[in-house]
Amino acid sequence: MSKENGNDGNAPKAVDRDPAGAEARGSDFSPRLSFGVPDFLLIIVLVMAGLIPFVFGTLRATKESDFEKVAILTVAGQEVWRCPVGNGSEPSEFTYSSQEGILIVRADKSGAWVAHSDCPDQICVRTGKISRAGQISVCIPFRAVLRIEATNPISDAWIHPDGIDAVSE
Amino acid sequence: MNGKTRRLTLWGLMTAISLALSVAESAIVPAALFPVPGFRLGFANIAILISVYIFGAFPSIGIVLIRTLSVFAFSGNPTVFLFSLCGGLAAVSVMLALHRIRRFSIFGVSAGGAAAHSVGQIAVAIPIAGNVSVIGYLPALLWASIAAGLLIALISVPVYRAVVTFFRFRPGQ
Repeated sequence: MSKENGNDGNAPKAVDRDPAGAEARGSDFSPRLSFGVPDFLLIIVLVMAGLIPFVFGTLRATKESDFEKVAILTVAGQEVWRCPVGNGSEPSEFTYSSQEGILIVRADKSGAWVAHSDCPDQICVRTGKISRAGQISVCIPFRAVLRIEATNPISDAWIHPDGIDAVSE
Repeated sequence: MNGKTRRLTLWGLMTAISLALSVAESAIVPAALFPVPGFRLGFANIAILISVYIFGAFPSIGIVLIRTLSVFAFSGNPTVFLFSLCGGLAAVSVMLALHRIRRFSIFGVSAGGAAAHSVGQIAVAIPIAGNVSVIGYLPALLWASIAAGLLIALISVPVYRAVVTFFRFRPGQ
């Protein structure tokens, strides 16, 4: 609206040249402004590309009952905190501080979440509670990733408790 | 005004508009509106998309650089700067490439750019976070951004027509 007013009001020069004519003279190329078949094909390809992470199994679907789950917080790839989540887990809280401020993560038996972050966008806080294996909550300013991981209780038993160490010593 | 002055004026205007839209979007559209974490509609891309059509490669990349640098001047977080720079450059490069092929309409160009934006951001988020699992965000982010890209194109068509008419620009100049 205001553009038309401006055009009528202050630019008599604009009227004496036909804009459509100028457009046609300027180039043999007139831009396509309406949706066409190539666009449709491109969008199909792009939507399919979104399935690639599934193919590589990064977003593996795990049978929840077969595994115990842990919440793991990493900063710049380094693990800084780990807490079991699931039945019988005690509520737990961890505060990570850096020059960006502080990041508080909490976990209980139902999952883990970023409770507070000093980052400007609050994407991690708004992601909310994560509970399924493979789910993540990311805070780019802190370079932090909170994720839920499934741990197989059987293999855990081999690595962990007294058994193996006792034998080897 | 001769053509060169007009171009420069419009380019400055586009740069300012892309910055203003970027700030206004955060103020007007609540991010909580969308279930996808980190997703934005990207209204600033209206200005980028139009400048791809009007100015071509270097001025469009210039707008992206100025916008990300200005946002960095306000936020001061180098990690976030790197993150938005990679997304922005990926988007504008793909838009320019798709536009140059001339097979796709403004809808394909915009959707492709939006998709490149999310892929670029995820690609740089992996080394930033030091964790490949960030790729888990990709599907939802990519699909949402394709839809946003189509919306941006829908808005850009009348804006582009108005800009070309008002500034008497020749496309592809």
